[in-house]
Amino acid sequence: MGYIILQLARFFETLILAVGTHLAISVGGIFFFGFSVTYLIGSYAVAIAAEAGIGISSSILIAIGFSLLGGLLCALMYRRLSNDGFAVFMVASVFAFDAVLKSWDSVTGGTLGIAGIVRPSFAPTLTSLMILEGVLAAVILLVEFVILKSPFGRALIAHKESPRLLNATGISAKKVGMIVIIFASVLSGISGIVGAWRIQFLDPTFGGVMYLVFGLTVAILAIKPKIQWIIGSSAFCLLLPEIIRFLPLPSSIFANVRSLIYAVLLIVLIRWLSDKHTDHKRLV
Amino acid sequence: MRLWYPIFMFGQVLIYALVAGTQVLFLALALYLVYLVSKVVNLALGGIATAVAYGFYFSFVVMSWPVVVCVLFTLIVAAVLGFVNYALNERLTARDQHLFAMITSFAFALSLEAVIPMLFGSDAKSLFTGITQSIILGEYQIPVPGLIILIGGVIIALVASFLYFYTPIGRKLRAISEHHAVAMSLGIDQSRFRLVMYIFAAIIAGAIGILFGFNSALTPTMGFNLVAMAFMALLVGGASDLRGVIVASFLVSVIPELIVGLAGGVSASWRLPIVFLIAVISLLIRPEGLFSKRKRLS
Repeated sequence: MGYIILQLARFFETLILAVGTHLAISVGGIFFFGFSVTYLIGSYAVAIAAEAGIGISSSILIAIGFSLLGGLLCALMYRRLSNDGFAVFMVASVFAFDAVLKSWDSVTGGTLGIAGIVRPSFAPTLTSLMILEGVLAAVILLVEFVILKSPFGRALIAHKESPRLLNATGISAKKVGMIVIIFASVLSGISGIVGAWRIQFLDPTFGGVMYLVFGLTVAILAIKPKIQWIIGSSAFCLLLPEIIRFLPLPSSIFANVRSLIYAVLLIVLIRWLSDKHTDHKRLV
Repeated sequence: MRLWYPIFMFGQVLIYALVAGTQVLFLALALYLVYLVSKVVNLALGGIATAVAYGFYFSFVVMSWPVVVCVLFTLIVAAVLGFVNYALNERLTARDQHLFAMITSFAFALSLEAVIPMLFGSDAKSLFTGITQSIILGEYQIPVPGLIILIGGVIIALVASFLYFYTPIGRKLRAISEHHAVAMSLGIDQSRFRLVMYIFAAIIAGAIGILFGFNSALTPTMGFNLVAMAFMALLVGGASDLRGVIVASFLVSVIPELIVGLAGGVSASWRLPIVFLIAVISLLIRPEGLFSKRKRLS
């Protein structure tokens, strides 16, 4: 039972994160890889604030505030750089932030991390936390559903098809991109907060490059602008590596096998997506 | 006569910074070459550098083969990995899906870095036991692997500049970079050019991986740290400007190295965040690259 509750909690966390990456990467065609950084910002901010004795509601606000700030910085870089340059820059930010986490011992605990993160009083057990995450995920999915049906959602879909045509209709493609980047950053920050509460321990291996690949795989698999795709994709990507638990492998290589599965899956998905794009290439 | 200590320290740190800069230059040039012919930021090079270095470790330390055989074996490993990297990216590159190709190369690097610990374990490996030999120049000293990197880097930068600006190969490279459709119509076989560049870049990356192994220890995740600095240099210098890439490679290496070496209380692990800060400032001021006059289009 505990295993199922744990997997459900992870699933809801993934959903919260994936809504943002789905909107940015799959729907908008913006290769925003900084979600992995804002995820870490959210989780570390809530842990550090709680450790400093700040109340839980203030800690949450601080963590969301920092994620928002991270999102604003990413949006600023998006405005300045080309799509390719932005994607590369965001990957670089993941490495740089990882180095900051490892180096800033006095604040982040360095490679040892932060232990004993206290859960909030309104979700003291894993079950109650899972229910809280489920409610949050449902609300966020509803928000995504509304966004996809709204003029902004249509602008986002148009952004992926052709930013130039979007500009021609009088809607700034860069502004649409910046808004969705900020939104995705806040959502990944929230996902980081609940993730830190679930694990109650943080170190630089939480998030980072591996999480970037995971989030990217979820977003790319959920290619259609429909919420059922993001639900299915999150469940698939989360449960796929679970099969290695039932294989006779030494536990020391579990993490590497999981990395390998996601990496290979990502390569396969990209090739599939490439063929799909080529078949329906628009010739405007 | 002994030098005044601050000057001596500055000089010694500068030597190490130049070695680090040359190391970055090697990988940045490899990234640049691939970018030139395919417009893809090939993040796999970090993973390839690690895998080739481990290939050398396998032949040199585990199997104790003669050096010539080790070099041949390592070259074959690098060429095979370069070819796989090319094969994974080629279809995407031909369709102008550069970001997809970048993600594929990233995933390829990750899969390499996942396989290495399964084969060799995740602990650090040494290519060399004992004390690294150093060359003494007056009051300064340079470790031999560092000197090889430094001399190799200068030669590579000069040769690359000459080939790029003054030879038919360079003209073809520039033609593919400028307009691949026109280059194709002129009979330039782009696919073959890309294959050669991917393999060449893999060999350069592998060489840096091995030299890095002689300087310090091999770890399965060292590749990302190596390539992170190189693609910062590519971003800061401007992905289409060779001069910019060369200057930026030293800029992103020398400044953090001087800060870490001369400022007290800043540990070496802050190098990458400092580089990132330099990149942010540089990209905000000159998003098109250090020396580029035109707006960057990709």
